Amino acid sequence: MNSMLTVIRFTFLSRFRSKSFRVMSLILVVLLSILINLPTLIDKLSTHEATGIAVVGGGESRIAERLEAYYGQQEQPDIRIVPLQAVGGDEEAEARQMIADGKIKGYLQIGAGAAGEFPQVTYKSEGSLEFSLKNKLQTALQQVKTATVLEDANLTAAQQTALRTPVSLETVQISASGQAAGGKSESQMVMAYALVYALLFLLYMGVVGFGNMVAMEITAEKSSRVMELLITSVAPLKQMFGKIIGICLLALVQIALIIVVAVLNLGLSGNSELVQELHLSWGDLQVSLIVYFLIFYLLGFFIYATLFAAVGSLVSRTEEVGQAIMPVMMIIVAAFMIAILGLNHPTAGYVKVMSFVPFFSPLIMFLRIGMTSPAVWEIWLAIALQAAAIVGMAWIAAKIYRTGVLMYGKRPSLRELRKAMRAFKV
Amino acid sequence: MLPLQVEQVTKEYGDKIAVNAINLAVREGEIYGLLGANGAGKTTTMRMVLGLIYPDKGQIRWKGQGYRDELRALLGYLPEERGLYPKIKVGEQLLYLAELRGMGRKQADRELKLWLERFEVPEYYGKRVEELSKGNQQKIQFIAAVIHNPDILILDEAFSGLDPVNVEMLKNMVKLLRDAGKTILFSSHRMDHVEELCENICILHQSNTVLQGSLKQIKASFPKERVVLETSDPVEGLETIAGVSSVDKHMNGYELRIREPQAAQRIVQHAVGSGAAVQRFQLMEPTLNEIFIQKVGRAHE
Repeated sequence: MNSMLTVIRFTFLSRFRSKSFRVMSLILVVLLSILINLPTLIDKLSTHEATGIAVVGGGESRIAERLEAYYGQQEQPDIRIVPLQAVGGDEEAEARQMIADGKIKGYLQIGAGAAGEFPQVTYKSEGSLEFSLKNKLQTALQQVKTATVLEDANLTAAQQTALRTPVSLETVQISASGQAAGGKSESQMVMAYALVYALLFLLYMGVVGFGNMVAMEITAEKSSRVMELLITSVAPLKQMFGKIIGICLLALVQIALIIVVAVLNLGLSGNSELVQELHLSWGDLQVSLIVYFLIFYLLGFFIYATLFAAVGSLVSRTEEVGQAIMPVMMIIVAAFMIAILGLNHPTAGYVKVMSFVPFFSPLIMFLRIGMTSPAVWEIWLAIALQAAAIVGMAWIAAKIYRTGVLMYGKRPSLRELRKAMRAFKV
Repeated sequence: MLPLQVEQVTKEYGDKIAVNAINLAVREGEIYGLLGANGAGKTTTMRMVLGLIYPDKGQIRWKGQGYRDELRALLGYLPEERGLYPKIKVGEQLLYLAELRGMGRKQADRELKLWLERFEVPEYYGKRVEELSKGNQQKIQFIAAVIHNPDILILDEAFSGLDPVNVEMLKNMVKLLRDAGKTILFSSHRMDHVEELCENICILHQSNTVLQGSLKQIKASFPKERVVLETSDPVEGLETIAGVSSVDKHMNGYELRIREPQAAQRIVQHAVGSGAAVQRFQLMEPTLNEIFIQKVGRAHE
């Protein structure tokens, strides 16, 4: 036990003090800060001047007037209607000239409509794919159309207001079985979605990054031949788990760092806007979700780390590590893909099944906990299965490790490995 | 009770026998030479002595008992393939290795400084291994093997790749450890080092023990086949003497090979009879190098 602590401390400290870890952490902090502040930055940098738009044709329907009136009512309109000079003349040519002069961004061309019908409208501009602008114009035109129709219908003001009021629809997620802790309100769900999304990424990145590190460290020890000394000084099992736990601590330090940076940045005044916009409120943050995140992070890390350790022990040169861990990476990527797909269909059958499969469950059961309310027994079953799988994997990995660290040269095939295991009596 | 006893130990890798029924015993304060060509089974034997792999047959006893965990503190190992963490400071990693062997951190620090002092390189304490020359890395590697003051030392190719000055330095350290009562299992391809250090040897060839025993007795049991003759004037007709198999002329004399001991007498008589003054005549013992090559064959080195 004592020597395992020594391994843990050495692994952790030598990595923690290394330049690469510091640089990585710094990059992470800077990147995260930029990412979180990006909406605010973009907001600050972009002008708030309204986009100028001209209206061509459609004189009788008075659409231009009505649009102008519609935008006139708003306090801070996104769009402003620029009147044309040459009414009746070649309006389109003038509008084109105005675009060229930079006075307007584009123009609406009102087509001829049958009597009593709303005319066909075309928006023409030099840009492409201006979805948000199109949406804004559509809303405005819809309003104009509604107003036009309502004008003819002789409704009272109250009736008109009633018509215009949007329908209120709220979604609440409940637990049908009634066994779970309870449902989630809409804002809780938004919070959960954001959090699950972010944490899934963190889980994936953590497992991939630090799992890789486990394999790399072990192979590096092998290739620099320190391994020869290490295996005579400390039992291979203690050494392997010391290494895994040491790197796990490193991963936890980085997670703590990420969370602190994220909270600090979100807490900065400029960002409260973003927080509000996403309907996030700290009150909706479920502490249980964070606890589950840590549980599943550890479960995920340990099962993959043991696998990475076994693979790393088989490779003699660091150049070959990338190739050797490919199959393991595939499993993680598959789990991540399923999780990302499952984010939008958290109740789908395949998500349910996968949430119990070891190797997949850390990501997918966590997703289910975040997005739906699985029964408590389901959660604990997944955790138990995963824990059992970790014990099994650790047992196999320890055997492979014990054999692998003594084998040099080319990567052994499965048959050679079995033969060597028998020979070494592990 | 001997500190290290290997009895009838056999190890097979699949259908290939790596070590076949090897026996050896090392006393306290003794350096035991384990010799053999590459692939003869030395490394496997050493790994078994280190407790890394278990013998298929036979047994190994450390201080009279079988393998147990506390042996890690008892054994010191200098591997053939040198290796340390290249990017980590000498002090840091040697303290780590010492701690793994169950030594206290403070005590390990004291020992480390003492050893660096002995090697006259105290300034390496805070240097990274990759900054050191190969010879100096070797010194650090040696310290890594002995820092925890082990009773049993396994030195695999201790002096390979070192310049003569450093070889002397390391050899003196090994002798110092021997005189301090350590039990040392030593392997080398340099037969002159073995002759200088070892009392008993064991030569392995293709997993079998081909020669074993005290170095003195082994040498005595081999016929003296080499004669060195130095004379004031050239001597003609040496090759015609009965029993002489070859004559090599050196700068200031001859080296002859003889088939039978009596031939030596005939050589002296011939030299004296030719009228030249004999300055040196010696019937040479075979060197370990010659014995090794004879036993293991030229093809394997």
